Amino acid sequence: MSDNSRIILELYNPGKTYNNQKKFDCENAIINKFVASSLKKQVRDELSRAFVLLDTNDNGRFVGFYTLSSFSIKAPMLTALSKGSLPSDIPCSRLIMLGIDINYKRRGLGKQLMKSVIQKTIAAADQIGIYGLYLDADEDAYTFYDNLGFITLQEKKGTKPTPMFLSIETMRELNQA
Amino acid sequence: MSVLALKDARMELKTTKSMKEMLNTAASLCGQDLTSFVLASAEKRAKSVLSDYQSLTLRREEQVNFLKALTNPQSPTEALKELMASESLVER
Repeated sequence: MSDNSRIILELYNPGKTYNNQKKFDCENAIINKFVASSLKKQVRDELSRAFVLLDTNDNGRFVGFYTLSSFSIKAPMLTALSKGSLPSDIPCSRLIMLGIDINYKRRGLGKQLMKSVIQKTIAAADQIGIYGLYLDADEDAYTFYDNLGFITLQEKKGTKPTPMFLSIETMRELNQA
Repeated sequence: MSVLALKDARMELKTTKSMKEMLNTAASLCGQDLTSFVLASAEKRAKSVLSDYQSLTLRREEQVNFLKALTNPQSPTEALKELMASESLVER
């Protein structure tokens, strides 16, 4: 694993120009295009918040990011099933996208971003009360999330990503950072 | 969109001849003009994208599993413990 001490994490500022954002390449064409042409607008429109990884050794080069938004899991029977202790719309945070520059892979940065996602979710829960973290896992990432304890909300259909969820209680048990 | 809504905006789209012909044919098969056909199709897709962005609705048996996850949350896995104990990046 390479030295990550020159890599910093910061809240994405849509008013700022980031070195290499337009040429960001994480080997996923959809994510690359999103970073180059939609990230700024999405954050500016308050549809999500983004956190970015910058390499301070390379003029603050944009080397990774994730986007987080609010989300709700609708389960109309939940209130009855829980005898009134749960709402039927469960508010949570949603990890929409996560990507690491191809030249910065295999040094644990993706995991570091995931740790940050969990910390932000706990912070959001502390402030406004949410039940957990939701994400749509692509096939190649499914095992990673499964190992972290995410449950599958809906069985996989065809090539669609799998909706997964991690409860806030599980995350809180460990938050030492 | 209601038929009575005031149309106060304009969209111009460039496309190929063959695409326009196909859309025209499909529109007349539905008994619609091209504009209504294109807008109705795009509106349906837009609503679906917006709703998927904001929420997920669970089916009956999925709700039962979800309830279990919420009321009996599992203990953190080894991988999660390791992740949360790892050194954090510097945040500014």
